[in-house]
Amino acid sequence: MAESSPRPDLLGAFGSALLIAIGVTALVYSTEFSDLGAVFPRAIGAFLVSLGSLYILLVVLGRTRCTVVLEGSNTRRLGVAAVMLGWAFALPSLGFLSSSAIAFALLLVLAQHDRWTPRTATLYGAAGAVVLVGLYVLFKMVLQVPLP
Amino acid sequence: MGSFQYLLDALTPLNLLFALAGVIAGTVIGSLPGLTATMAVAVLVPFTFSMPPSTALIALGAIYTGAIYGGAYAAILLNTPGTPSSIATTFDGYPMARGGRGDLALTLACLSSVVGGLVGAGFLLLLAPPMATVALKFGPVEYFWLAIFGLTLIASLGEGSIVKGLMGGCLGLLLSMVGVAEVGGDVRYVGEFKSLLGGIDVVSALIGLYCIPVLIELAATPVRHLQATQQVAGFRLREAFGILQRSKFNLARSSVIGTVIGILPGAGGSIAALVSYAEAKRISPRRENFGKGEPDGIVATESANNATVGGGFIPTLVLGIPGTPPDAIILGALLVQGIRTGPTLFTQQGPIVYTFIWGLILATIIMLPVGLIIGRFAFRSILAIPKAVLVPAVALLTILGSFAVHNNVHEVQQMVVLGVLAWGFAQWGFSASPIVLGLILGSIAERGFVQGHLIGGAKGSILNEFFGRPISLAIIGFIILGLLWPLWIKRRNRLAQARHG
Repeated sequence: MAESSPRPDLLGAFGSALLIAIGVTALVYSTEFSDLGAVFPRAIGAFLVSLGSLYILLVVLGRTRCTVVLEGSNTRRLGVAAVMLGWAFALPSLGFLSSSAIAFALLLVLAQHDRWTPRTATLYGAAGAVVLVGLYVLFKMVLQVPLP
Repeated sequence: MGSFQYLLDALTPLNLLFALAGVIAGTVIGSLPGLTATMAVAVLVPFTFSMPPSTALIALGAIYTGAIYGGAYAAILLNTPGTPSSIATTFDGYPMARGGRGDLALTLACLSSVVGGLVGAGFLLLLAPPMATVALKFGPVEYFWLAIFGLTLIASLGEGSIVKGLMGGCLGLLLSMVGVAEVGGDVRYVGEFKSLLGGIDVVSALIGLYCIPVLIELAATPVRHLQATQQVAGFRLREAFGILQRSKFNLARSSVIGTVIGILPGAGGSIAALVSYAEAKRISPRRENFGKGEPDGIVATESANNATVGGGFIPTLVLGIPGTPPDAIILGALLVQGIRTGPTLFTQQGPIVYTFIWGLILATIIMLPVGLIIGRFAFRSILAIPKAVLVPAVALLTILGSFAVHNNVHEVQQMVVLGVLAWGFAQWGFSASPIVLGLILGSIAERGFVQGHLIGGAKGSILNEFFGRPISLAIIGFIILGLLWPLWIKRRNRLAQARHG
């Protein structure tokens, strides 16, 4: 996925700007801490701001190259991210089995690029059920993990 | 009683049975993302309380060594380190698997782990008391510099920019500060989210930062997740032995590095594997291939992380200071068994300790067939599973693994949020490894930094405390070398290219 190209690394500059903002936030909040608790966050926050500024300077001077090239479907990417976030935040209310069954089915659909046939639907559905129930039994019964 | 007698004591059918069961259980648990060696030992330690002391220790050592090795499976096949010790194994393991050499990578990981484990256990058997005293020479400042060394290594080892790697490390360090501070007790960067009071759990973060971006990218393209060659059914032992023969110095050096770093309390397998990887890359004539599927990378990381098992037992047994988190749990199990660790352990309770060390050596040898068989099964399974089923199955493991660490649903949410953020940062060219290592090393670095600051302040010279001690200066030298080396290599390659045309 990662290929070099001669374009300047504008995305890297954007990421650096975000990290500078994080560093500044860390520095601002460190004023609320005791001297002992603030010394390390201040040092690291200041270092992060300096590094971020240095990288942006390198981009401006044309000393960087963009190395990321995205291939494939962005809809699927966003779909997987949304399903994972929804799954994690639905766990307390829906419980493990219900939320996992729904999320598993959605991810199955998102990750399938070939045409669906009744055979693949049955086979993948059954495989999903076996994996879900098998791992549930392993964690809940054998490892005694109190799943929600 | 001679050493041969202790070996015979370790060779009882009961001990061998528990060593075998321990290696299998440890390997399986370690291979699941989220279930670390610490968790494997912690979950199974109650089963050992009713066993005779030497059998219990052998079982625990076998679980530990199996779990450290098991982490390599997910690292190689899914680009997700099963344990923090196998972070560096992903660098070359996954590219090898994607290129159709996953079976060879797994065999190499197994053989290297066995050699590393044997070297670590050998050091434990022969040199435990004198080597433990070396660990006592490390003060807070040395630990601070060691943590920084780990961070600079990972920043300079990545394929991208060193500056970006260092920024990722700083972000990881800031993430490690969330929650109640270890030194001073301040509540930091929690805001309204009370669930962050306990901080960001390293294992959950590790799962999220590595696994979620891989899942997102797997689902985005129709390309197969792993390529297979015609030799998929074989162990490729001959080829693996050939590589080990070629890399024998790398293997020996990495095993010794792993043992020595394992001796340092708190340093652990992740630093050991990174330092060994950096050394292997620095010295190798094929250094350009590192990060693209170079077998030497796997040899270095897997021998080093398994060598930390024996190395970590040295301060645990001799000084009562656990070298790694699983050692701390085993130390607790020793106390339950009525064994008092300390300098007199080897004289007063020699039979138990030496039987245990021989048991550890036997467990490491048992790991060879067990690891090869499980590795072959794991590779063929991952290869055969359709991607549409693999993606939700791995996603389910990430949810289960992050929940199981502390039975806390907030850690699942942290894991997913960090994973999605890591995917975003990956699009901007920031790799997950420096962030993870910053998170892991954050507490070691901060404790060392603040304590060094306080000690230096009390002595009247903070600078002298940080820059005036011989071990610190040596580590600082390595840090500078680690940062400048890739730049020097780049410059040399540029000049060579210019000369050739």
